Amino acid sequence: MGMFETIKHLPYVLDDLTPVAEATMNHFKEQGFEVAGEKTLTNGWDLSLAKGKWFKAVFGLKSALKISIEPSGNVTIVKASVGLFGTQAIPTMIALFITWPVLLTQIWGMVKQSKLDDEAIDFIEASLQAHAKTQAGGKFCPSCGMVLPSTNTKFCAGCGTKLGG
Amino acid sequence: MNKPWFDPETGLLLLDEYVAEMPSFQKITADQLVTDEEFTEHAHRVVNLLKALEETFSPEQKSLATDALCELAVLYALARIRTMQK
Repeated sequence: MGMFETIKHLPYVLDDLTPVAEATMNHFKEQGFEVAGEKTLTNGWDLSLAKGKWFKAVFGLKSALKISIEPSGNVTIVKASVGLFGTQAIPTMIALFITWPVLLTQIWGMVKQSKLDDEAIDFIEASLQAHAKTQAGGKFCPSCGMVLPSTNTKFCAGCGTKLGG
Repeated sequence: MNKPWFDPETGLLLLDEYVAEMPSFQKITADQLVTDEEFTEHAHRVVNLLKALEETFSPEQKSLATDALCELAVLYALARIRTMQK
């Protein structure tokens, strides 16, 4: 895990992450967050969440909690970090600003204190699990939710749970 | 002019907002180009401001300001080194 990011590898794979991204955006919108999301070139999603004065403007650009949801082999990688609302990368001018390290530390500290990153990742995990079950037609581990390659699998490759067959 | 350095409600640093309002910064962002003249002129401006500050401070204030400026520079260097490490 990086210093200013929370990363989780989740044992679920979806052909299309759009339902998960939309559910996550709706979840936070209902809580009064300003939300935005866009699909990435790698079939993932880049979400922006902002609320109140925590995510202050930096050089006039609104900061945000960035959530990236990216498929990677047989897992989905979810990453929470601080960035700018509606943009996937932080402009060089901001990253080079002398007080950016102070602001980044302060904003990330508030995110960690409120556990907003954990809430987002937990919600995405639950959503991924629910959609993976639907997509796999019931072929999933009842313990960890990992999608199983076939109904004849004896043990879950994700958590080792013995399966009923 | 007595602008707070930190937001009293959130504790977040506000200096970037003042930077964004500076004519020098607006000029740079307008054309995205920094000429040798602009760079040299701005370096002189910084030196003159630091000299003016040094003359204004009491010994205690000067010590505190020196620490703050140097530690900010150290943090910035650390951030740059971390970026290069990646």
